[in-house]
Amino acid sequence: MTEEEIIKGCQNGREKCQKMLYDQHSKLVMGIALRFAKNENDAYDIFQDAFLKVFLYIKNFKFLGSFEGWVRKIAVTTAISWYRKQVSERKNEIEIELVEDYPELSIDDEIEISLDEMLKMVNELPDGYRMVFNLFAIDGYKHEEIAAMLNISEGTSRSQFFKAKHVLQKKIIEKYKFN
Amino acid sequence: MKEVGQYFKEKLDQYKPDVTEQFWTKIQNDKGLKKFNRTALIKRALLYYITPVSIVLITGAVLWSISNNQNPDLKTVEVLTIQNNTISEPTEPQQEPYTTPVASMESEPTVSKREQSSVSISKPDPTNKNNNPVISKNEPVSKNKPVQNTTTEPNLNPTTIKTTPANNSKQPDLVKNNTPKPSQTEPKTSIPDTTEAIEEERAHLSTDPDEDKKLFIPKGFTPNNDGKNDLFFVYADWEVDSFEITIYQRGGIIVYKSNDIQQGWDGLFQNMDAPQGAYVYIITYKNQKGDDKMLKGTLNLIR
Repeated sequence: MTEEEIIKGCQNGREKCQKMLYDQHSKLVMGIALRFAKNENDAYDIFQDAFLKVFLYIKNFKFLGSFEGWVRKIAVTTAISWYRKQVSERKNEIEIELVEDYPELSIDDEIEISLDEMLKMVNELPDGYRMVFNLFAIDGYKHEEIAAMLNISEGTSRSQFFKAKHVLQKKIIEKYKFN
Repeated sequence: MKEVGQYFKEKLDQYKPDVTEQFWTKIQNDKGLKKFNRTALIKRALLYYITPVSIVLITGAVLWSISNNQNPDLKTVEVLTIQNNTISEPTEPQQEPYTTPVASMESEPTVSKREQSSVSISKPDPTNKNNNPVISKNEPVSKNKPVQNTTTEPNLNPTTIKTTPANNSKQPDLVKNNTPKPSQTEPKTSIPDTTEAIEEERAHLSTDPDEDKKLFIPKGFTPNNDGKNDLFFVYADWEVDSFEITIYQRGGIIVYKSNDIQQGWDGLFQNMDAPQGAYVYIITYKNQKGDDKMLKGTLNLIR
């Protein structure tokens, strides 16, 4: 079955096609969920929410652009709404940074870090840092878009991204100082 | 050296960990998804099965109703042609067939039970066959004779009944009574035959208490203001409850409607003379037991 047939089958509510779609895209969604969440349990919740959304809103997919991109977007938005839910429970911290130019932070690309460790580092970032870092560095959103999505100012987005990078760099250097 | 963001992107962008099956079963059993699948299934069923089937059924029903509607039309046309042929002959004795059944029906209570009537039939049969010559010369001996004379009018031509005794007894039809040619040409025959025939007719007309009494509905009328059969009446010898008569043109237009059995149709429709031809009537009434009955048939309007 081609991807289009599978998608159409899902649009008609056929369980077989839903299973096939799940097999094709579950890894991608799980990868996104894992790096946006603070821990694994949260990631599983995000994963499940995202996949349900894929199945329930697949009617709206009009075959414009790639389906993988569509799934990816749904996963990211699900993660964002998950984050918003958690933020609304706490007080909204307002952070204004006036610094415009951030120095470039870089690490030696010879350092080999395992994926699990990388993921752990990202997960350990504070919530705001993690969201901005994921959205900007990995998913390729612009600061404008991130500011709108997370309901923060563009400056906050920039500063949080810089701080996140700084934290990550520190961690890596600490770990591999003596290598 | 590499920028930190770039470094992470390269590895995490395509990060695709294995996913265990337990998440699929959770998603599969989600209520929202199940509902979605169910509605989609119903939609599919509607689109692919129920709609085509219903279309086929509806077209079939329409075709069937069309073919059913055509049949009565054809029948009325046939009846019209047949009856017009027969009625075009001189119509002098027309009024008699109408009055005969009424007269006989009025006197029916005298022969109330089937046993009596059957006896009255069976008696004359052997006597007539055996004693034909004797009776033909003399006056008829049977007890019933005087009764017949009183009930049936003297005008009634005995030969007409003799020629078509069976038909006459079953239905006092206008058409069948209206073929009196032989009566005019033939001489009068023996009386016992007529008594037999009349007796038979009476026996059929007489009603059991067990059986339903029937309405007498003439097959036609002549609204030409000549004092004879100017109105279309339905006759009944009991008080009919919830009587309703509706007369239709062949096109289905109601030309006359009434709840009064005493009221007859004068052949007018919207204060104009309705054209000669066949009309369809539908009569609903309650019989003596109180059951609802419906009669359908055609009547002829002759001018």
